[in-house]
Amino acid sequence: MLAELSSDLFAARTQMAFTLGSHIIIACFGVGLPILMSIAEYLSLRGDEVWRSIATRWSRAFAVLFAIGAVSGTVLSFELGLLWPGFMGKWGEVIGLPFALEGFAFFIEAIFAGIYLYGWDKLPPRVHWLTSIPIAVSGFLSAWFVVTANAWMNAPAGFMIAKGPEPVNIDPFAAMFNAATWAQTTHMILAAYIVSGFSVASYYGFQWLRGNRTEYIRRAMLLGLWLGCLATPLQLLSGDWCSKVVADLQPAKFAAMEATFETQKYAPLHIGGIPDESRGTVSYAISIPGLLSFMAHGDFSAEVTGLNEFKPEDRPPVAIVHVAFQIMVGLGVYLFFLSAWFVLIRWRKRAVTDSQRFILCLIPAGVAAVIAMEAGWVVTEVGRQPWIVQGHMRTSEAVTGATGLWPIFFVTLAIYAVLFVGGIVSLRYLARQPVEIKGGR
Amino acid sequence: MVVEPVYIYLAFIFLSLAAYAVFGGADFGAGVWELNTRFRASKEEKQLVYRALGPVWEANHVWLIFVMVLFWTGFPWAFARACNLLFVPLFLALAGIVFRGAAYAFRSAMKEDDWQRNVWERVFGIASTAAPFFMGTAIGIWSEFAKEDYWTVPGPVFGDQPDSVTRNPWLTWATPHSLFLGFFAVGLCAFLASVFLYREAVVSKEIKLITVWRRRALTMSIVVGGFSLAGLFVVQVFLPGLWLGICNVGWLLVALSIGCGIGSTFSLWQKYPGTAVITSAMAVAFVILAWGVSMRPYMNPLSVKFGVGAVDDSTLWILIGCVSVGLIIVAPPLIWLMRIFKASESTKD
Ligand code: HDD
Ligand code: HEM
Ligand code: HEM
Repeated sequence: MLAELSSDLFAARTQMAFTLGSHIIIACFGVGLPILMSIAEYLSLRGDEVWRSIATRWSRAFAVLFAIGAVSGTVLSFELGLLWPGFMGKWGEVIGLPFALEGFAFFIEAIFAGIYLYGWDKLPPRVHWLTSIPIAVSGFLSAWFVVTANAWMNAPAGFMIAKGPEPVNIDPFAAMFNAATWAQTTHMILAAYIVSGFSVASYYGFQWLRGNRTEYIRRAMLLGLWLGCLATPLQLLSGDWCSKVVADLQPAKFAAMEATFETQKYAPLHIGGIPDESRGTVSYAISIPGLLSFMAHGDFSAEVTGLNEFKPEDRPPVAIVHVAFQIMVGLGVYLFFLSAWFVLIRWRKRAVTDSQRFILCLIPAGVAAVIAMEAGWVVTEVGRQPWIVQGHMRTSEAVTGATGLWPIFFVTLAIYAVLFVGGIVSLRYLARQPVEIKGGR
Repeated sequence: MVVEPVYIYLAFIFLSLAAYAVFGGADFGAGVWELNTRFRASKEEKQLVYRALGPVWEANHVWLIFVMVLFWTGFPWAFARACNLLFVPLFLALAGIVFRGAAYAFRSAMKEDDWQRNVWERVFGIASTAAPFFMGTAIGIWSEFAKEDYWTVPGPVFGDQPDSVTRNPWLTWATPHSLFLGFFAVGLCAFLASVFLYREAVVSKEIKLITVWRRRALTMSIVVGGFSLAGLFVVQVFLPGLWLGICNVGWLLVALSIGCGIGSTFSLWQKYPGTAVITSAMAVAFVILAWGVSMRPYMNPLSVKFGVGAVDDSTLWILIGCVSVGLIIVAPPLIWLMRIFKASESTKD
C-alpha cells in the first residue's frame, strides 16, 4: 500500500484529478455565467439601470473567472502530454478532433470576451449585447467537445485494433459521436448551468438575509434561481439516461455505483450505505428490492450484473464510487425540491424574497451544486478504473516514465493555491465596490 | 503533383506557432518592459502597456492551445516524446503562462494605487519574462534532436532510446544553446512589444510616449539583430543538425527574416509605425518558419509511414478540413476584434 501511495502513477492521478477538479469549477462558470450576463444586459437595453449595473458588474467578475479558466485549462492541455504520454501517444489521433474543435470554440470565446469586456463604450448597446451570445454559445460548445473526449474514454469507438498494438482505421467522427456522448454531454452542460445558477442565487440570497435588501440583489438572485431551477429537473432525467448508458456500456462501473456485488434478478437499490469490498456487503443502506433492475433495464425482474463477474484486477474501487454516486444523487434531489418549492412560490404569485425560510434553504445550494458536480466526476473517473480507455488501455500503461512526480505535484498545488486565493481575493474586491446605479435608487 | 497532407498539416502548425510568437510574444514583451521599467515608468506609460493588452491577450493566447492540440493530434508520439524530454522547461514555461494571465486579470480587478495591484503587476512582469525564456530553452533542447529518428520512432516513450537514458530531463535542460535561445526569445518579445507600443502611442497621440517607445524600439532592433547573428554561430557550433537544415533549405527564410528586421529598423528610424509593426512581426514569424523548415526531416512523420503509429492520411485530411473551416469561421471575428481595438489612421507619426 505504501509503495503504491508513493508511486508515480498515484502522483500523476492525484495531480490530474486535482487540476481537472479545479478547472471544472471555473469552467462551469465559463458556460453558465455568459447566459446570465446576456439576459441581464438584454433586460437593460430599454434603459433599465439596475439590470445594466448587474450586467456590468458580472462582466468584471467574468473577466477574472475567464482568465483563471484559460490558464488552468492550459495547464491541463500540457498535462495530458506531460503525465499521460502513453495515452496521448496511442490515442491522440483518435480523440484529437474534439480537442481541435474545442480550440476553435476557445478562440471564439476569447475573441468575443475581449470585445464584450472592453467594448462597453466602443459599441452601440444592442451590438454590445449581441456579442455576448457567441460567448455563451462557444462556452457551451467547448464543454460539449471536451466531454465527448471523456465520453470516448468510457465508450471507445471509431478505431480498430488489428495486428499491431496501434489503433487503425481511425474514424474521428465516430469517436466523437460515441455511445456515451449524448447522455454525458447533456448531463455535464446542465450541471454547468446548475452550478452557475445556484452559486449566483446562493450568494445573493446570503446578501439578502444579511439585510442588504436592494432591488439589485433581489433581481440578481432571481435570475440565478431561474437558471438553476429550470435546469435541475432536466438534470434528473438526464442523470437517469446516464445511468442506463453506464449500465449498458460499463457494467463494472454500474455495479460499483450501486454496490451490487452479486449478479442478481430483482436487484435492490441501495440508498446510502457503506460498501465493504472485502466481504462484498453493504451496511447501513436502505434497500428497495427490484428497483435497481427497473432503473437500469426498465423491468423489475431484469438481471443486473454484479462485481463478481469481473476479475478482482478489473474492478473499480467500490466504496468511493458508491459513496460519490449517493452524494451526487442526494444533492440532486435536494436541488430538485428547492426548484419545486421555487416554482410553487411563483405559481402562487408570491415573492421569493418574502420567504425567509426559502432563502435559508437556498444558501447551501451553490456549494451543493459544486459538490454534486465534483462527485459526479469522481463516479465517472474512478468508476472507469483500472481503465483509462475502457477495455483498451489500463491507467498504469498510460503514465509518464518520468520519475519524481510528487515534487511537481506539490509545486502545482502551490500554483493553484495562489491562483484560487488570488481569484477569490479579486472577486471579493470587486464585490466590495459600491453598486452604482445611474438615476438613483 | 500530389500534395502530402502532412505538409499542409505541418504548415498549419508552424503558421499557428508563428502567429503565437508574434501576437503572444508581443504580449509577453509588454510584461518584460513592465518588469524593466518598473520604478521609472510614468502612469501614462503603464496605462499604455496594460491598455494595449486588455482586449486581445486571451485571443492571442489561444494560438498556443491551438498549436498544442494540432501537434498532439497529428503527431501523437512526437508530442508524447517531446513532453517527456522537455518536462522541466515546459513546466516552468507553463508556470509563467499561468501567472502572467492570472496576474493580469487580478490587477485589472483592483483599483489604482492599491498595494495588491502593485504586487500583481510585479508578478505579471516576472511571469511574462519567464514564459518566453523557458519556451526558448525548450526549443533549444528540441533542436538538438535534429539528428536521428528520435521523433519518429513510435513505441514506449521513456527509457527506450539511448538518448533518453543518458539524458535525465531533470538535469540536462540547461545547455549553453538552450539558455542562449531562452534569452533570445525574451529579446524578441521585448522587441516586438516596443514596436507595437510605439504604434499604440502614435495612435493615441501621446507625444512623450512616442519618443520613449521609438527610442526603445530602435535600441531593441539593434540588440536583437546582434543576437540573431550571434545565434547563427551558436547554431553552427552547438546544433549541427539544425545548421545543416538551415544551409539546405532554411537559408531563404533566414534571409527574409534578416531583411524584414533591417526593414523594421529603417521604418522606426523613418517614423513609420505601421510599417515597423508589419516588418518586425514578419521578421519574427520568419524565424519560427525558418526553424520549422530546417528541422525537417526530423519531425517529418513521413518516415513513420513505413512503421507503425503513423497518423493516417485520411485522419489528416479530416483534420485539415476541420481546421480550415474553423479558421474561416474564426477569421472575421478576429479581424473585427483587432479593428475595434487596434485600428488607426495614422501611418506616420
Ligand atoms: C450539478 C450537478 C449534478 C447533479 C445534480 C447530478 N449530476 Fe450526475 N453527474 C454530474 C453532475 C450532476 C457531472 C459532474 O456533470 C457528471 C460527471 C461526468 C458527466 O458527464 O457528468 C455526472 C455523472 C453522472 C453519471 C456517470 C456518467 C458516466 O460515468 O458516464 C451518472 C450515472 C449520473 N451522473 C447520474 C445522475 C443522477 C441519477 C442524478 C440525479 C439525481 C444526477 N446524476 C444528478
Ligand atoms: C474531458 C474531460 C476529461 C478527461 C479527458 C479526463 C482524463 C483523465 C485522465 C487521463 C486521467 C488519468 C487516468 C485515470 O486515472 O483514469 C483522469 C483521472 C481522473 N480524473 Fe478525469 N478527465 C476529464 C474530466 C475530469 C473532470 C472534469 C474531473 C473532475 C473532477 C475528473 C476527475 C478525475 C479523477 C478524480 C481522476 C483520478 C481517478 C483515479 O485515479 O482513480 N476528470 N482523467
Ligand atoms: C482534459 C480535459 C480538459 C482540457 C485539456 C481543457 C483545456 C482547456 C483550455 C486550454 C482552456 C483555455 C481556453 C482559453 O484560452 O480560453 C479551457 C477553458 C475552458 N474549459 Fe477546459 N479543459 C478540460 C476539461 C474541461 C471540461 C471537462 C469542461 C467542461 C465542462 C471544460 C470547459 C471549459 C470551458 C467552458 C472553458 C472556457 C474558460 C472559461 O470560460 O472559464 N474543460 N479548457
